[in-house]
Amino acid sequence: MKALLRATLALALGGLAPWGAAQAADTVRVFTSYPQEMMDRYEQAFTKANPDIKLDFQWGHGGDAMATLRQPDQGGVDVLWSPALKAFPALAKGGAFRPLGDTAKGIATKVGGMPLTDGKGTYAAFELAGYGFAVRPDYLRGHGLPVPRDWSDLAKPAYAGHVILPVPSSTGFAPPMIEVILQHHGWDKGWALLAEIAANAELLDSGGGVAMVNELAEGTKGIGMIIDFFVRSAKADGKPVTFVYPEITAYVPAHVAITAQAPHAKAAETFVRFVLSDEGQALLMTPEVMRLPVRPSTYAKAPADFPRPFEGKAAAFVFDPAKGTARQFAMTALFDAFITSRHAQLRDGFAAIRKAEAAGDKARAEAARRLLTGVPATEAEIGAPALNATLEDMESEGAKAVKARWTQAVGATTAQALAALAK
Amino acid sequence: MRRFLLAAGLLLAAPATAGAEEALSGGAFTVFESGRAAFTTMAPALPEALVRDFARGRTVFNRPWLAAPAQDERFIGLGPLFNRLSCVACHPRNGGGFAPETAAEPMRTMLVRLSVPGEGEHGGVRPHPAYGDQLNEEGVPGVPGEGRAVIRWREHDEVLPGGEAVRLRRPLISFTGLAYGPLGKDALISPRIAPPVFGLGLLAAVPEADILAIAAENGGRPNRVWDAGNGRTVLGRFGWKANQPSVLQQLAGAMLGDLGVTSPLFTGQNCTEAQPECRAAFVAPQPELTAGQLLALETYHLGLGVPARRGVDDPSVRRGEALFVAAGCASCHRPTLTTGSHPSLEDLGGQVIHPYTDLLLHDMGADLADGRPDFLATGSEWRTPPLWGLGLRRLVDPRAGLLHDGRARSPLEAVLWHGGAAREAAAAVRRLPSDDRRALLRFLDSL
Repeated sequence: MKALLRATLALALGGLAPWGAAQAADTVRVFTSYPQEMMDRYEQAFTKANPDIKLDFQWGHGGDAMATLRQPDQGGVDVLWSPALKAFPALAKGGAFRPLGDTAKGIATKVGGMPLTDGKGTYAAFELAGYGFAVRPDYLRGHGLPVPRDWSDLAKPAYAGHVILPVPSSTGFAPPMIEVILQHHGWDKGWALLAEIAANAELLDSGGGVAMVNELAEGTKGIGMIIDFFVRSAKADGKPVTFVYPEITAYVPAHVAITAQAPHAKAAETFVRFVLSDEGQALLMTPEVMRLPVRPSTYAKAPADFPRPFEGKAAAFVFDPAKGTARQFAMTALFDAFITSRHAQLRDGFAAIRKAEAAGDKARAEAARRLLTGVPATEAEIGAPALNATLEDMESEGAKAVKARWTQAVGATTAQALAALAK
Repeated sequence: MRRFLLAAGLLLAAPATAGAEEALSGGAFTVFESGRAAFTTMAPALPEALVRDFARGRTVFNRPWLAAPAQDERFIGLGPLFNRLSCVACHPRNGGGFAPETAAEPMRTMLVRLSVPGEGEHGGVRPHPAYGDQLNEEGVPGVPGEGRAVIRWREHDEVLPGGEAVRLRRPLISFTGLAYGPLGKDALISPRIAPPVFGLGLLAAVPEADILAIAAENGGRPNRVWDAGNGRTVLGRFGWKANQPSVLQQLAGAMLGDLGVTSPLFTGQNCTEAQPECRAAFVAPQPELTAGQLLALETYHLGLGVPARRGVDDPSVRRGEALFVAAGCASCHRPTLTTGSHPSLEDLGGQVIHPYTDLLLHDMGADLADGRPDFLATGSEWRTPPLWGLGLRRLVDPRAGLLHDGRARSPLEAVLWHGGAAREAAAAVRRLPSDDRRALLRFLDSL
């Protein structure tokens, strides 16, 4: 033992590498908000393919990415690699990235008619994720419920008590999903639909997609409104859940770009080429990742039941992610006031409306429905940049005042509706 | 209501055979997951009132931490020096870590403990004056990482009766790019892979008197370690050398040591006098891990289920189990313990569990010795690691290793490295005819 210890300790003296260079010659610093397991998958594969480059991750959401990359030295970051929908176009506009040249050759630029980038070549799509339903098939069978085909199905009385709806102010993946409903159905009808879905649903305000999938796996609910990868990954883990894309949905992209001042530009290009290569794209289909590749040729390797967003007929609905990101702060605050603040009353109200409808009292039901579903702000108001700036900090006095005004207005109409239904 | 339904589900899911009780490795905290989610599933026995905290703790465990300054205030405080960005980075899917296969690979789920001879505060290790008590390979921007530990393997084959050859590998550790000077001649080093993190609450609830009674019977030694929260010396239960007294302290220690995140229990940043950039680095409001987050993290660990055994009544598993006992393995890898009370979660009490550990230190011989004492543990003593979940380790992560430095890639390799007090048991396994050895391994795979 002593001989072994002496040998081991001898290697520790001086910090020398007695067998030659094990240390990487170059480094690439990548800013990301991907989960640890996905970072590890890519780090391992990238380092194996490029043992001379050390991959350093810096972690943060879109807001931190924007703050870091707007510093004079861009924080020493070489690559932004992230599902930060808002950050890429905003940073590109400010000249934060350098042209990708042919690095992104063969990568899709559109899905279902929706552009995946600003078309100026400084950032590229890296993967896609789609919105829809996490479904527990045995739960639905047990309750005699069909698998929903569209968002509007979830508002039907039969689904009452069986649905989970994430609150967009506290669930990262949810704002674009709410936007899909608003943009497809239109402002007023979209909010009315959301109110009626909420009346059928439990609201999820913490734990995100993992918590939602776990609830389904525990059998407490049968359907969750969610982004696909949480469900497909859980299914690969053996959880009794499956994912269903509705007839109308959207696939949102994550992106990759090289910073304008990348200190390690060559290594950065190597990293970007790797994640966009067939090998890097195929890693997206592994159980711990389960995102959708943006290199269409990679789907040749996909299993038969893997989603293929680049195939099939042209989409009837084209999602506008920029519209959603521009009004995200106001939309999520409005959701809190319009739905979260009166969730129990929404449930009671719609239960009474359905009862009135069943009793043939259609006029009373219709009047109450109008009161319960009337949204207190117009689409133009919610899209105003000044309002979104105010609502970016929900603790500010201005934000509190706006939210209080909406909550009060919603409270008044809700009280009216409930009173009318109680008569 | 939820608990009733889950309890009913537990009864239905449990195999209704003679081995049903033995399959419930974690008692009421058993989960019937045998896939990649085996170590990440919440135990049905966790009280409803704690489910939200469990989910919060899961987020703390899985979320990468951010270097200050950053916008998401809940997770600011990485570094200044650290090994990985998150807890889960070293414990993939809550399972054990692994050693790099080649010198070119970084230590992703492994670290190197450092110290110098002599006793430190309260009888623990004396941290290395320049590097502290572990090598932090990474630093936040502006703070040089401490260097890189490199692992190389010296391999040899051992041929067992019946002709089966088992390739064994012994690690050799070296360092490159040491940023704060040479480690010096007297540095003590000990490579460690991350252990699995489920079942800790149950082990915390095993009565001390029961552990001491086992020690009197099998010659194991309890470690006596410093309880920082209560300011006294107590029984050590967790860590490769049983140098941590509680789940809470284990978690707070790892947050500081591995992530550089301070907590109410360990308030000082992990910088030594020799690290001026570290000491000058911008730090987040203190403590970086709040009391609420630390308690949620503890709840998460207490609430994780222990996977049920599979194939308990399979005849070859039964035969393997008998051989395990006959070889003397069960003397330290205790099949059954009964929990007493747990200070923060009453439901953990009164459970009959099957962890296959005695929580005691044993001399494991020269081949496994690291020569680095820790409280009462000598340089060749290691705590008996629990074996529950053993057969699922490589399903959860195909790279998962065994033994403190991850040298063993299979239970058989791990057995063959046993020396010291376990020499006779290992020799008994070596002597087994091939069929019996296969049965023994089938038994281990059922855990």
